[in-house]
Amino acid sequence: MSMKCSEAIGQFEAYKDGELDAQRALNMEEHLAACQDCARGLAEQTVFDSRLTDALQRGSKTRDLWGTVERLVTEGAHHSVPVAPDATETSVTRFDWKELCRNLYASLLPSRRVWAGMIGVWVLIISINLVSREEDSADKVFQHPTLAQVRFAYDQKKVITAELGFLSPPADRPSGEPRDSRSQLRPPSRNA
Amino acid sequence: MHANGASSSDRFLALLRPIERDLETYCRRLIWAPEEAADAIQNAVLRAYSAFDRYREDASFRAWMFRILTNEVSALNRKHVRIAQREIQLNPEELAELPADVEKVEAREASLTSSDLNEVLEADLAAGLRRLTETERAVLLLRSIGELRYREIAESLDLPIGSVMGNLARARQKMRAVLKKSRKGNVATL
Repeated sequence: MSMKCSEAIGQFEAYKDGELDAQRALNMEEHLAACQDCARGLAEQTVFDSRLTDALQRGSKTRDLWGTVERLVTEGAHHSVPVAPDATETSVTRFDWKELCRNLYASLLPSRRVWAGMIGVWVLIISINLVSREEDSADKVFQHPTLAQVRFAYDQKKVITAELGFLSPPADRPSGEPRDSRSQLRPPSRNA
Repeated sequence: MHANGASSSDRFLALLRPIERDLETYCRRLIWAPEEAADAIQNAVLRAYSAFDRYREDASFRAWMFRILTNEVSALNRKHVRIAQREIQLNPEELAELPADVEKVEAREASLTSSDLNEVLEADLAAGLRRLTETERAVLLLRSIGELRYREIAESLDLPIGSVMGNLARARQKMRAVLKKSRKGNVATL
């Protein structure tokens, strides 16, 4: 199956780096043999990338730096320092608490989101605490009565008052007044 | 678990010495703050030596060492990105594409090259690298300097292989554009 130019161009990097599998490499070579535009474009890129690689690889080794590093490695071998966790592995064999604290401090200090999150958590904790606070014991002693309770108490008061009026000494009771306690509740007679 | 004995340190250094120059070149091109390159290299090597007993003999020591160094440099670069975001209020993409301080780059790179042409080219290279994103730069340098395979780069950066290919293509394309523009179309001088 012949390769299209767009597909070939998309695979130029992998082809230059030798990362294509055998079948795709063969397809690419067949396409380059048939398409001069792609062949020319690939050649230009190859020349440029080769020189770019050479330029990037240009550099020297700092002898003092590597002398120090190698000395530290050798000293570490002789002094049997504890092993630090491997940066490439997810499992940690030993915690470096100081480094953890340093990293936490460095990461938390400039992070607004972390600070906002921490403030939000504290606001939530305080809010829950305020809402779930128990009522003061003194508040439980007196509770404002409802209207129905007030009316009931008033009626009871009238009954009790009437009872007391019935039981009160005769001298206190005007003459002609009946003894029925209920009559105390009746409005005074208009003929009296 | 304690560190390895003297024979193990000899083995470790024997594997390390052939790639020291490449590690340093890679670190200096990848790191945000050049003055931290020495610390990054030292920390990475010591970390690698601490974990050397877990290194598999059949694995590529070069890829393993470059992966550890990449993690170390990335951690340092992230710190500077956070500080810059806080102080300069830039997005990570904008920050990663800031042009390099050319004077600083020239003064730094002068110690690495001898000819005038190489010095100017190094400044252009550094300026071009600064225009790449963090991932594009790491992929390009791991391929160019580390000579890692795509699979190894993907493992080092925790990326899919397709993403590695895409980042590498974009990085090379951007570098071509920047260097062609700086040389006014004369690719041959590269």
